Amino acid sequence: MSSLKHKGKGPQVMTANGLRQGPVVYMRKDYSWSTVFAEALQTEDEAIIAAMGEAAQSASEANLIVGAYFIDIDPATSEPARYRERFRMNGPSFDPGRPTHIEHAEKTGPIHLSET
Amino acid sequence: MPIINSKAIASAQGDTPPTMEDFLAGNEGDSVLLPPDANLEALAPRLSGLRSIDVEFPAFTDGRGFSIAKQLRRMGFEGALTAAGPLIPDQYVYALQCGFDQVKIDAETFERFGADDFTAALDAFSLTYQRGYIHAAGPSVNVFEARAAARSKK
Amino acid sequence: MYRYDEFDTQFVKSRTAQFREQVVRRLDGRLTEDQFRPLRLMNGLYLQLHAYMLRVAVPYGTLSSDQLRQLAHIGEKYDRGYGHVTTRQNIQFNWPELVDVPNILDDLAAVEMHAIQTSGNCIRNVTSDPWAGAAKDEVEDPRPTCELLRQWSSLHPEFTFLPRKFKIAVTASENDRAAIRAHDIGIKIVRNEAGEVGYHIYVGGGLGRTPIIAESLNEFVSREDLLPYLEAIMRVYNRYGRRDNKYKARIKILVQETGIKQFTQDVDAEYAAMTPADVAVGPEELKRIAAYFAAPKFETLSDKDEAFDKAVILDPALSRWTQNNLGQHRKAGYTIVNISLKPTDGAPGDITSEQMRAVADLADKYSFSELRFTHEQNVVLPHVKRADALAIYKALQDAGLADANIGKVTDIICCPGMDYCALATARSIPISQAIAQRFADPERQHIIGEMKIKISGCINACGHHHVGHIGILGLEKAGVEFYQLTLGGDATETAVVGDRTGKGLSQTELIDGIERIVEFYIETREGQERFLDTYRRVGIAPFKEVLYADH
Repeated sequence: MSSLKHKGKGPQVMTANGLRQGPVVYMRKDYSWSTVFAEALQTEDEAIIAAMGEAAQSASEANLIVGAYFIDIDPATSEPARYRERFRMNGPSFDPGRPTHIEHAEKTGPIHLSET
Repeated sequence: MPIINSKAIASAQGDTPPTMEDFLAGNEGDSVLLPPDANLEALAPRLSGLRSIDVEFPAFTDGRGFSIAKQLRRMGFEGALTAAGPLIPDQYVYALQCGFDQVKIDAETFERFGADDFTAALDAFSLTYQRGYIHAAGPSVNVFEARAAARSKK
Repeated sequence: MYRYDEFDTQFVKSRTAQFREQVVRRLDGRLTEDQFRPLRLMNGLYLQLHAYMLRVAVPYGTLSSDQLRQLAHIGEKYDRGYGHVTTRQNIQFNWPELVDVPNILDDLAAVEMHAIQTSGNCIRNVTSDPWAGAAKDEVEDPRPTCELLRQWSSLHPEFTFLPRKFKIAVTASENDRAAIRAHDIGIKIVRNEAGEVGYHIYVGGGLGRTPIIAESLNEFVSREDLLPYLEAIMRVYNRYGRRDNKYKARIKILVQETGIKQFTQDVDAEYAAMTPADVAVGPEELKRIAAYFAAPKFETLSDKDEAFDKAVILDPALSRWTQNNLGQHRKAGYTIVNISLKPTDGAPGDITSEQMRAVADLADKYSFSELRFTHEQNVVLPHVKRADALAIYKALQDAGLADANIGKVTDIICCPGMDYCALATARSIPISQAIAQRFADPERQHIIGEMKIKISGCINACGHHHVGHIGILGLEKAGVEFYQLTLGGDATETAVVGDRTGKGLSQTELIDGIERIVEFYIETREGQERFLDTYRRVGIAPFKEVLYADH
């Protein structure tokens, strides 16, 4: 199987969902995965991007994550460029009378996934 | 390509039968491979001379073949009926229930699951709600008929 | 309501065990994600924008108080303490973990529930009139028919890998509260000239990218012919429905491309080739199912209740709630209580576990332990003594569920939109809230009268915008949300797809524009005319003019 390719511009981040629990995760420097966007590896280096693609492929085949793809990062903000990806990062914009997504995440703590 | 039926699992490399087009163009042959959009009326005059029919499933998500099997059996076809395509274990039992005798799947799909998963899938359900879809090796009891039988005993 | 017998119990148990095993095979990699996806979808499990989402089936919207309590428990134990009532009368949970889903299914099975076929390219949960069994205008209770269809369609070996999803709705009333003509198959229970009850079948309706109102296929199918006839339709669709393009795969496209005349002939030919008696279910079984839906033991009461009438006069809020949220029951002295899940600041259709328990208690105390979810994302207590309505109103106030806005401008159908959905192009919940806030004044809502606003966050139209009196479609361009309006849509017995007004609007322009449309309607209406009637009388042009007045 070929590794994942990016079609975007500028810095890239690799994202997916954890298979067992389902949360949005981002690839970290050591190719493990975290629910915290701030921990995501952001790079424009094509060699590193290629390695990220391979690592994501491997994590999919190891049934750790599902649906991996690259997202574009806005260099000005260091946050996802696309509107949809900002929702994936922040959670629902409205949780009336309930703990917000961010509060919930703070309560449960970050989730980290790795193949080993 | 492995062939799986309720009696055996064989890795037989069964011959690929002629396509429907080739079969209808000639006057001979007792086997055919039907495409998923086969016109069964065109096949009807030659049906009694057929010993075996393979029905192509281009993808496991393409369920046309299930209806083709049902229609072929209704047309009186009694020969060997094979579902040919990348069916997964959970569909194997549906194929049998719709009138197929066996499935012929690609080696990669077969390897991924193994024979046990296909055998185990037959045991997932003993009941079916649809009349006319029971199969001795799988869901062998129709719920509506079982209820009727229970009523007549009373 | 229906109760499982030993066979139903066994079947759902088998299904739960099968899914548990499928999850094992997914986690160990035997099932790839591509192979697992259709299997999990057929069990109501999506992978959404943020997390997994589990959609639980509430067959034809009917559930018991114990079932609702179990849903409350599931919401608390496995989710974030709430659920979301959907336009297919189901309930969905937004945050379950894959590894927990088999346990959730066990919990559901314990109260005779499941998540079978709440998604996937198969026959979906059958929907119906939320007032079934209580409505004054029905030929008969449609739910025995729905239950028969639920059983017949469950894991149908032939129709589980259809070209696309397949939705069936059943009504038994002239007043269509089930939007049957927006369905792949719409069934209207009718009585023929000989006095026999049978089925008027509509086919090829649906919303989505190509909204189409279903056409009449057969004006009278007898009771015993229903399953064979439906099987004929399904087989024609399964064989000839398009599979080359996901967006042209629904039966509506097949019916349009074939033409209703030819399609009817194809169905008739398929029906003629089968032996109907081999498919049909006998009258004994129909009687068995129908017996579960026998009317509860109603008391003989009068519609007069002076204490209640006096309370209504003294309390304008109660008066509004009585007018808007109570439906006419077929028995004297009884009423249908419609509980709004559309508070001004909430997400339409959301209900917390705590609220579920409060409503379940009310059902036990006042409504023979029975409840309904509606396709308009509300809850119904179907059989309430009018004399008890006041006590219910007070209890609903305590639970934050006393909004008196059923059928009003703030009773909005709304999809989850970009806040939850992986397919969405724009948010829809905040739009619904902005409209609700703009029209929050109950007196103003009362003056406006009947108004159906429906919002979808993408072109797939889960929020039914095509059939809203005012329909809103959310789109996105270069990271900016904008909204397109349709006017004059109707989901009822006079079903019609709304007309597009034109250029998209920002959220602010949209809310201001809707307000001007509403004001224009109030100035223009004649007598008791509803918004829809005025629109039909004067047409789109003047409404467009006021909508784009600030451009």
